Amino acid sequence: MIPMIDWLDQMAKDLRLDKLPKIEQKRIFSILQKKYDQELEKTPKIAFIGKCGSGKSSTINSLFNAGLPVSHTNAGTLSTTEILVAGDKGDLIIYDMPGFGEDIEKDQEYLYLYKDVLGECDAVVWVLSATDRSLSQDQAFFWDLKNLVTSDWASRLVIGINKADLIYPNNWNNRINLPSRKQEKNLVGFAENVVRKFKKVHPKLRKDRIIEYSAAKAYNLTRLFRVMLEVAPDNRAWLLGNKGNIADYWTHVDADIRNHVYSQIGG
Amino acid sequence: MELPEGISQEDIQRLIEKNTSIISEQILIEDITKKSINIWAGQLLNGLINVEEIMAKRWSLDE
Repeated sequence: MIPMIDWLDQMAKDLRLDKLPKIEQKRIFSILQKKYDQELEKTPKIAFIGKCGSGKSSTINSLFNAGLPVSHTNAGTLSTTEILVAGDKGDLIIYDMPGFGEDIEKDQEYLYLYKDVLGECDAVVWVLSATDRSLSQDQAFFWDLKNLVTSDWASRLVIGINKADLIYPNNWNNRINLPSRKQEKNLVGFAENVVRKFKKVHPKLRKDRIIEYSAAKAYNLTRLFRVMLEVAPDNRAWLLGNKGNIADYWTHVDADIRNHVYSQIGG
Repeated sequence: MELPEGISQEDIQRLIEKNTSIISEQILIEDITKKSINIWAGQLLNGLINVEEIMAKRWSLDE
């Protein structure tokens, strides 16, 4: 968390508040401190959208240490779950949205559930699975949402390609916790395909808003989180930035290899 | 230092690059967070405090 004193000092210098009488300085500092504390209580909100089985809950857990149960049944999240994540880094509201693509009638209900939530979110993460190349349901659902929700939520969209470790030919190098060269190539191809397909329904989509990652392997999570901050409103990203509790990539690397690397980089 | 069994220098190099990439992302996260808090604070100051009044007081003190 950024200590308030960091920016307060800078502000004081910029405005040369030190030239003011002490009592006036004290009054201004006191107002700022109060507002800062109040702002910290305003929880950032993030929505996670995606088909059943794309790994929304595990993504949330790996980014915020939220401790959500991860279901492996055919319908992960049955209703919109508003989760207040309370941790040592403060509170955060996460909408773990029901996974679509299971039943057409349910999808219609879900659209309206999503509609109520998306406009309020600081970031919206659309979770895909690297094991599922069929994107037509995602395209259709996105299109319906875009037409239903008039707020500018799509500008706060990040597309996450989860389960990078399971992409064909499913030969992740577990010892070093990195994709095989073939998987690396396939992940690039998958991301390019996502850009092509999503641009048909969201022409403004930027390629750098698409991140391949693995929640299970804590792979590329820091990158995913950084992009989530980039899409958040400028004056609220700091609230979210302070809440990240990202799973450690290195715990998935073999201990002897990890130690070898640390010895080379002086870690 | 001897390489762990079954691991190539290329593997180690990839991990070193991965480490660099994670650190770069962490720095970016910190930068975005700091920039954002400054934007928020700037808006707050403009809304809360009459900056012109402060500046006027400052100049009068300078004189």
